[in-house]
Amino acid sequence: MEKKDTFIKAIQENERLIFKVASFYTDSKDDRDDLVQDIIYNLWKSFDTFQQRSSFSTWMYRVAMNVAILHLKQRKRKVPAVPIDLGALNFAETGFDGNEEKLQVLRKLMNDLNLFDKGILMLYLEDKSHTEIAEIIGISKSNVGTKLSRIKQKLRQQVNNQNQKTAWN
Amino acid sequence: MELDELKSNWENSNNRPANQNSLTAKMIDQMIQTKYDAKLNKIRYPEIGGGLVCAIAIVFIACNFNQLDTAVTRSTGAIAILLLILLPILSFLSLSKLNFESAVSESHVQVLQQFAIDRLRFQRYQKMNVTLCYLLMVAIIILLPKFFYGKDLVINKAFWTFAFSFGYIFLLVFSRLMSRYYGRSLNQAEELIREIKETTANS
Repeated sequence: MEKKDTFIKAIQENERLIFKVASFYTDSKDDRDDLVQDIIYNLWKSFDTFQQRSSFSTWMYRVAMNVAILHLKQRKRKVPAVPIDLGALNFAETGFDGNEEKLQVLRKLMNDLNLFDKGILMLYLEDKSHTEIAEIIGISKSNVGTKLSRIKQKLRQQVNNQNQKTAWN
Repeated sequence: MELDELKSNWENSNNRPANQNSLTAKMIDQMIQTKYDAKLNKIRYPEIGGGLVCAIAIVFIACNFNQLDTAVTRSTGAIAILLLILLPILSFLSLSKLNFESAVSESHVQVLQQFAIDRLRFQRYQKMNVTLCYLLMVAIIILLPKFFYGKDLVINKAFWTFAFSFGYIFLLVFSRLMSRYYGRSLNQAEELIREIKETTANS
């Protein structure tokens, strides 16, 4: 029972992380709720593999992001999710306070990136250091810097393309 | 929009639980238990259903094989049985996947690489499946009139003229749709693998 209590406490302390990852990789509320459950289930299943070589949140990010990828793969073949009403969490819908336009731009930019870049971008947005990003993703610290500057270039290019399209219209 | 601007937008985003500790112990416990039950009940109904249909069709063709009295229809019957065995096998193979439980603790880059490899494999199996389905359809067109009306359409010139022109047009349209549908997805998966390899090689 002690293990479960420790786990529940850890989940409660880091629940924001789970919701952030789930929101980042899904488009609909139902899908997000399903992913939240999948992440928690898999965190519990692999709780014994947490070896305290990294912080608990680093380990959680890694598991949550991996589950999100595997969830994408299985999405179309999913067994219906557990009927738990996550709406009761009073979890605010993904969005920016009073700025829907910025949300749309952000979503569009992120959706055009591949899953590798997307994962790195999410951790960057979460204010993770290069060392933490390297640890979660499994690449070197210097590669994180290189990847981030390439992502910057890609985003800049996308924004330019968008601006050109708008100008032509 | 620069990356730093994006970051400040993300930080200002509202996607967080309004209350801290909104996941109660009971809810977490319920999620673990019910997800576990759902996983246990996870049966591949579409694949099993498809496999059953193929098995019934094999039995039907085998039971009526004596009605096929020419070399062409007999060969077509044998090919149809072979295709009906191959199709469900390919369908199951295309869905075999990496071990979910052991994968979640791996590094993210490893899971991504496996994801892209699996996606490529799935798409290739799907392509093969569709081609075989097309061949099966041709075989069934030849066999059905023989089974149900006792007529051998292979000696009918009008049938061949119709079947070939219709078949050619169908194949042309179908293959165009297929390459459009799978092409982009395959390119994305290949690009992802290439990018991961380049990055990890530099590590």
